[in-house]
Amino acid sequence: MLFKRIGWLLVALTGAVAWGVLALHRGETINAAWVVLAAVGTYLVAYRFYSRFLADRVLGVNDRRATPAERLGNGRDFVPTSRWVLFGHHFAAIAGAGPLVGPVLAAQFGYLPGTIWLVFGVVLGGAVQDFIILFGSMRRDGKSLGQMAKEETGPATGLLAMIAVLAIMVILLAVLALVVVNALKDSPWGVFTILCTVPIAVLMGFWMKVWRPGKTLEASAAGVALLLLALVGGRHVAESATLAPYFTYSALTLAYGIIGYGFIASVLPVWMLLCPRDYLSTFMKIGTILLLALGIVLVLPPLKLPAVTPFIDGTGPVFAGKLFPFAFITIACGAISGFHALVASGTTPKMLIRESDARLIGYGGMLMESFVAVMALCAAALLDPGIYFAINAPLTTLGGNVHSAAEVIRGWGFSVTPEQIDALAASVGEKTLLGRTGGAPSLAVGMAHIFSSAFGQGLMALWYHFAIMFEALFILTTVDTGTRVGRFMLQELAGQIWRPLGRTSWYPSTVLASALVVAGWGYFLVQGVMDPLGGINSLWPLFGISNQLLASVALCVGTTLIIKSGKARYAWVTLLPLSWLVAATFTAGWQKVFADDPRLGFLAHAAETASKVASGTMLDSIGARLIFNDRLDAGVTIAFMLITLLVLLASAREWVLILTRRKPARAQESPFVETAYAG
Amino acid sequence: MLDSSGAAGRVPSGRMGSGAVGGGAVLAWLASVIRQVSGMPDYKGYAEHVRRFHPGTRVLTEQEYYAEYLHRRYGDGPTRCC
Repeated sequence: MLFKRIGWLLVALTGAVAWGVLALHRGETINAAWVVLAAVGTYLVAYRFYSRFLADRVLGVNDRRATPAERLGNGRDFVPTSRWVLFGHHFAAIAGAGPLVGPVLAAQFGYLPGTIWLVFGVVLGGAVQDFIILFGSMRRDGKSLGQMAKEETGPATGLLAMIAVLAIMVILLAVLALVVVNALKDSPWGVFTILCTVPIAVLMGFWMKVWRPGKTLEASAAGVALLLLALVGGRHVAESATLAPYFTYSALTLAYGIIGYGFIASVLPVWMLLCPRDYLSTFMKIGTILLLALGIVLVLPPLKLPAVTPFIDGTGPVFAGKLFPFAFITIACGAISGFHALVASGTTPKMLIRESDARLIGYGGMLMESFVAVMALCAAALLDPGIYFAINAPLTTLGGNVHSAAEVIRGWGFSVTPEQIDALAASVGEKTLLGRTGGAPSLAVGMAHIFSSAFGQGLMALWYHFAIMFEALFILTTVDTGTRVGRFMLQELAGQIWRPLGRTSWYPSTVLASALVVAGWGYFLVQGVMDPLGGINSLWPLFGISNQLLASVALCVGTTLIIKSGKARYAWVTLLPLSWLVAATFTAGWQKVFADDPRLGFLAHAAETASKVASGTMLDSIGARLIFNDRLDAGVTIAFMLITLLVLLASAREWVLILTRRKPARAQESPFVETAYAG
Repeated sequence: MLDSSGAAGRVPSGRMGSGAVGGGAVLAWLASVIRQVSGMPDYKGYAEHVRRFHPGTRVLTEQEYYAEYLHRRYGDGPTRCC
């Protein structure tokens, strides 16, 4: 007992000391070890004490109560699964490109703001949300977030939540596709490798369905081997003067290619393409994240990015806007992600053996995701700041070539030479890395640094393309599964208007709904590719805002669940992160729409474009399109804010009714059944 | 509702086969973990479950089970995050 206490004291002290070092350090570089120690120390203490408080006091976790997996076990979706296996399963479902890309973009403020928000945001916000939604769904036989919102707050809230999810999906798919496009444009190596994943997946699909039914594991092993072969083959393609042009595409061509791919993947049977790609991407994801953790611990790289850059004043080139609120919406997924509420209320709650496992899987799984985001931040922060901005600033800002770029970046106070930029591009097997906005390429350069120092010098180019392949693979998997899910949601909504449209097996309805979803995100993707400010500048904040607003909806539902279970005195555990999110997200949304700076505000940008057209410096047709896009983005932002506001008001009304005893505090939980498992 | 026959008295260890020892068993255990973590279908586990707890119910064929699994996994709602 005493030893345990001393142990926890040491963990807490280590974390505190590491935070102290981060806060007080002045100098050229700081070792990544301090960031890792501060993060892990905080996670451990929060998990041990805060999540236990949530489990015992707030939620009233009860291991004598049978879980849905036990009561409804059917050997299909309701399957009791051991906690660490389920932890892995849940983590693989929540970890995606978001936690990798967001922190890399937010590194324009320096490494410290991102680290602080990732670590404290997760222990007080993101992990709390995931845990409570997972718990609530487990107590309701695995109901989805939308169903819980409907039952606890009313049908209008449920419908709003459903529309919000569909809209967020469209923005998410567009921005993620844009990240891939920016990583693959004019890169024959990357394009070849990613194109190869399609026939590899189809091969796996036939293997698992037709040739050797059910042998998913051996087909996946073969798939991974072929994938690595394609990665090595990509180098020869890139170096061959005859082959390279066949795989060199502009951003716009790639965008149309991905749009076409998304449509085909949505209407093809899932076993042929989607499911095998999903397996491939899960394996690559888990493997690469473990490799990255191992690499960072082995190398412990010095971070060259300053703790805080001058760009906290809102003048940064990667995206516009000040530290508050934009750091908090740019880093969406790693600190708190509304999307997780959808995953935590889907598959996972049907697989828990004991109620208390929800703590490890919900709270602990999200801590793990935050740690992935911290590693991504380290990978970006180990780059020379000059290099970081050369990759992440839009080409128009950098002036189009390495000489002008070096000049511009020196003007920001970071030293870099044209030769350095060229040498780096050559070392990773690319013609240029300038203006590759979207975060993926700079993350890949950082990861390649770590991997090549840890596991093999001189393989820099191979590691870079490995990292690009890994990011593109699972982003494209999100694009195809997301399109399909969007299609189902649209069909469900449309089915309420005209019944046949809701039949997911009716082919015309499938084709129509797929086309609509693809056209939706495809429009925003093309808009991003053509955007003179680089696309990421408008689309990533839009995605961040929508994801954080979904988190607000989830936290509203969480608060309702807590109050309805008679624990109103503990409602601050969700109200605290909720107020912060609402403050940050509504400020950001307001600024994106109404700010006077044309780089920041959509409407100001539209006005600036209009004056350019009027003065004859911009073509009428281009100007009209840009103005339409600005207004569309402004409209979407306002719509997101309105939906959230309505959910917030409906929830607050419910809370007041219960607290003033005009409505009984009764949660719609499934009845208690004693577990048959002995402790 | 409660499927307690036979399961009572012990917490199931998920679907990791227990009992056997040796290299083959470790490999089988590892394969089972990988399959569960990546959400692959587990036909054997399903068939065993139905035979044990729902005797009299028809066990789906492997093909039927796979088709149903695909529908469940990709049929509704997001199953993964950004």
